[in-house]
Amino acid sequence: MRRRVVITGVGALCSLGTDSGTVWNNALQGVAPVSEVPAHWHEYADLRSRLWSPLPEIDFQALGIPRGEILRTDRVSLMGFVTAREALQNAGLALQESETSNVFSVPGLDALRTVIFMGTSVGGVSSLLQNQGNHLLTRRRAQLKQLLDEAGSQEAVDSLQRASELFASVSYPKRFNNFIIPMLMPNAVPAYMGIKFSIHGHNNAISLACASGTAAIGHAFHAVAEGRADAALCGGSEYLNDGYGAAFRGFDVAATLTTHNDNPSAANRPFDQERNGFLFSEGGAAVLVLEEYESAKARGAPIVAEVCGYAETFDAHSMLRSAPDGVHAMRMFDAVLQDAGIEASQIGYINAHGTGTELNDKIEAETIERYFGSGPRIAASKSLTGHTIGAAGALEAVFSVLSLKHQTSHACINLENPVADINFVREVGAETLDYALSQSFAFGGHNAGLVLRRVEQT
Amino acid sequence: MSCRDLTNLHRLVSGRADGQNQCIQRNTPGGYAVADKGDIEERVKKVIRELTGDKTLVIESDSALVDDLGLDSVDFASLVMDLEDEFGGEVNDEEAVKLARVSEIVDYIAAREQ
Repeated sequence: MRRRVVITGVGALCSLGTDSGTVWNNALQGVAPVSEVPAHWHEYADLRSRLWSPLPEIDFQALGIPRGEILRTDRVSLMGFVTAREALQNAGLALQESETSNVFSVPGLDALRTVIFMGTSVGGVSSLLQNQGNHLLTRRRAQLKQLLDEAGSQEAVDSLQRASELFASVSYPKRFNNFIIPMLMPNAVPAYMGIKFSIHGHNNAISLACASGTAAIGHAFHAVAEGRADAALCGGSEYLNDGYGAAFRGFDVAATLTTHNDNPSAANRPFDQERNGFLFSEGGAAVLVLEEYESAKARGAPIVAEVCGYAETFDAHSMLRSAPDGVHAMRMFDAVLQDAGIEASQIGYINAHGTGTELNDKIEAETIERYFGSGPRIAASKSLTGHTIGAAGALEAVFSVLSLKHQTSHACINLENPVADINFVREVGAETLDYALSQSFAFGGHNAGLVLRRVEQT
Repeated sequence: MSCRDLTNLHRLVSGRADGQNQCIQRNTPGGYAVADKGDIEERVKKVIRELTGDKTLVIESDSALVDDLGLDSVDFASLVMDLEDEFGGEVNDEEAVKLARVSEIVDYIAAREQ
């Protein structure tokens, strides 16, 4: 017998803001941060795209995380934690601080019956990349210095001095971090949350590239629905700034990023005919608190929306291209609607994957049109946030949930000539939304979707 | 120094690697702060207390790191990083693991800074 699962709190952090309220309000205002990537990145590679969506400054120490912990924890995990803390606060689940350790407990949750599933595509790779600089360059710099000290001629001194300056211009951590392994491992994202909140239920990192966040929420939903847990912290986190643009370059050389460099505010245009790639994002995080419905109601929890269904399918086609006929995406639609026990015609809102790539946006739009027609409202949240990869599905679930709660949606930015005639949200207004589908179509060929339902707000 | 993405650190041409893994403010930038032993001891105790998060921990000058304060090898791996962060400069891992008492850490830091 499947139990109902509700969302009692959300947290979000992305280029639009460091809490869900700010993110949501800025989304309704059409705030879509985009700027030139740091200038020094161009010294290391010829980059085709020059744009990114940077995160706001976050002072983790001011947020109460001990300084030493910040040194030993990748930003991806720190972001997941502060976002989870916001979600718990919004759910009315207070934290109790330990006297003997830098951790909390959550008295309102059964620690053994709460799971933590977090999506991330690369975990703490930015820390590894930074420490790789230390690993490769420390001894070479010392050897170069020795050559300089031993140099016989002025010409040699000048050349070696110049070489030293070139080396010195690359900054890296002075110490190869003693904790680099637990920092980089993707499971550090949920594990850090579990440790900080003293939660002992299943603790999993889920890695399906751009579908990681959707899948993490979906698996958490099934765990609670099927009685394997009573509550969950679930979502996604991603941090992709290694300081020198290596991660950015990786997406750039695969020709996935927008190259509309001369018009930054118009560059990120999912589903528009002039799109030519997605907007790289520095990162993001989003967490939902899921609870079994009866116990949420019994404790008087705020109920934001309900999770009704989850499904995933796999293309087995290409690492970078969606399967052209959309047949496996439609299998996912079939499966998630069946899991939710509803018909396609009941979906009133789709939060699309909509990255802004030429090929995949076309396939997605055509697949939506073929399967759902032009009924449901279509939101492309990445037109605001850029692509946060492992956090994207979770951020988009938050947008979907808040759209259901507030019966409105943010608009699709820069959508002037849509690639298909489906019902894109072109401006913010009142909507009638009962069921929402939040979907992700990821690198690797993973197709994942969540069905969410509006709950009457009291 | 604020640096989210090492942008500002990149500008430093200092002849030595001076990066911060998480780009947080340092107490003693460039640091070999000269301080008396009493001040060093207070700061060492603060580092240990923050490392363990144990607000009830009683730390004396002659407290044994392992037997009295319960530090294990993972704590020592953290301790060397936190001491470097607090006092600047380098704390050698192999030497640090031989330090048995709070007072020996204080002596190590004081000797290093002379």
